[in-house]
Amino acid sequence: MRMLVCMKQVPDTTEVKLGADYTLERDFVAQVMNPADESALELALQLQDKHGGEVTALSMGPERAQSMLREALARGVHHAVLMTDRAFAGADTLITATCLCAAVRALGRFDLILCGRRAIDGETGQVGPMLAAMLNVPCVTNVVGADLNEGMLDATQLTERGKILWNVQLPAVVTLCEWSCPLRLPSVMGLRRARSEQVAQMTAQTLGVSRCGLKDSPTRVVGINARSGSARSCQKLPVSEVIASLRRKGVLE
Amino acid sequence: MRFVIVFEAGGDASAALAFRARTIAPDADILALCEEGATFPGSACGANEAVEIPFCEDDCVQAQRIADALAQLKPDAVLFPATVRGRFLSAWAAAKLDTGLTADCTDLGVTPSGLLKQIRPAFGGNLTAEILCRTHRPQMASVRPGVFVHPPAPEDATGLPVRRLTVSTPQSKMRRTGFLPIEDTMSLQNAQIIVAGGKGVGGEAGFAKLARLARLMGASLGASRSAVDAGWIGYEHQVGQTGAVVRPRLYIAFGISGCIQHTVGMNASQVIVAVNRDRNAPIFSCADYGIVADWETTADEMIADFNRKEG
Repeated sequence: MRMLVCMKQVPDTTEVKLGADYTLERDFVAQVMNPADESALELALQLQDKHGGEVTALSMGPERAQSMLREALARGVHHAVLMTDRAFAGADTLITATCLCAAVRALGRFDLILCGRRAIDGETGQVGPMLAAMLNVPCVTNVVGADLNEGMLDATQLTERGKILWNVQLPAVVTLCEWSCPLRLPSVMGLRRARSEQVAQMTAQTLGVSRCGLKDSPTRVVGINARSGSARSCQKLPVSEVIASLRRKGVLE
Repeated sequence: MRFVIVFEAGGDASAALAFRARTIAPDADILALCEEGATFPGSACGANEAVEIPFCEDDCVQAQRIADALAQLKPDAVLFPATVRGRFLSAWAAAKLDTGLTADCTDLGVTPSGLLKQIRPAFGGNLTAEILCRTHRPQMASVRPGVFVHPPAPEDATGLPVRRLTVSTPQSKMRRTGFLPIEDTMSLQNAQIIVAGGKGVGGEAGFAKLARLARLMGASLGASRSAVDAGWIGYEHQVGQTGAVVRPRLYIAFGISGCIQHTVGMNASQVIVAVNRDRNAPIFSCADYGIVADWETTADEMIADFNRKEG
């Protein structure tokens, strides 16, 4: 089974800065593997442990996202590929998925593509399902667990009303919830391998994508505003007085 | 300007979207695109026509049908409810139609030049971004259930004319094999009182205490994303941009700092009480009452108070 894990390096805190064009200024904050992508990676490794096959990790981002791909290598993925090019910068979800789709096609056929269900910086959760639509393969989002079942995939999807169980033909795309599969620690051998292994690189030119980056993105951030002021005026009181006041007003019985 | 509002089978969040579209674009042509089994909206929601497509439990097939319907209806703007399923349907359809999509909008407007103004929290939720889609059509956005409200339908509300649309049916590649419902008795969406905890409550034990308080008050238990991400409590309790949007009579936030990620999910509550040790925590700026104290001491005092009342 050939598996691909799509991952993104994200700022570690929510204290990110903005560039003049309202894209993220990523230079001054510690960078980590997106939490939901950790779960996608771990699920791929578990499926590999159980059923064999190989796992490739793919990311689009600046040169320094190599460090995240090396973390994936240290956990046991076979190949790591970084799509890095100034031309990719500022892409919205449609164009990100378009470029990922081109990379997936260039890397060959995969039975299962695993993504995080959303990144903690953009929080759109759109890239996984958009990639599936472009590849024309079935997709289950918000997955909390999955296993192979006679050549098909059984996946559990978490929704507002409960868990839906799906039986899906491969190839398929799944997007994982962040807490669903805690990522294993790297082994000593893995760490050694991660230092020596090559991270393959792809550019807009080697991929041959005609549309990429901010310039081709249909959605544009045209303004940023501080959160709007609230109409509430906060009365600071001890707990007993708050309860008494809520009872007087009939908010509490 | 033509809007299409997607009405999910079994969903109830879309009438408010149609109503919002009517508010921001009074002269627009507003079509309700209803999956078979959706509650048919009446004229009161603001739509002027309902268009029905068949339902399939395979979300990929259904997303393709919606994309197909949108290609036929040629709207300028499309609004989806941002449920887990609605977000999937919208992303798939946007990719098929090769257009832009803004997830989880907290407000919508129309610019003087007739573009859909899409507002959503950005950068950890402490700012809001205004997003436009100038070059591609349709302009697509999803909005969380509960962000907009739909006023009760007047007595003289009428049904809408319904048109059935013929859409393609691609081959199904996935099958629904089971469903494990979340117990709905304490669901956040309909709760009158919500007791919620954040990173400040420190762990599962903290949430066990808040659950005790909630039981005493007849409240539902809510949580901020950081508490859910830490694994202290399940996702079904999450309130905020990526969780539930709630409007209870009373919302009590324990140890929640109050970034917009969370507050967009609860700031429509009637009365908000915030408990935080940090008197400068942003949560106080959207609260009616602030208790500057340790969350646990405060919870203990409340538990004691409600126990006294019970006994």
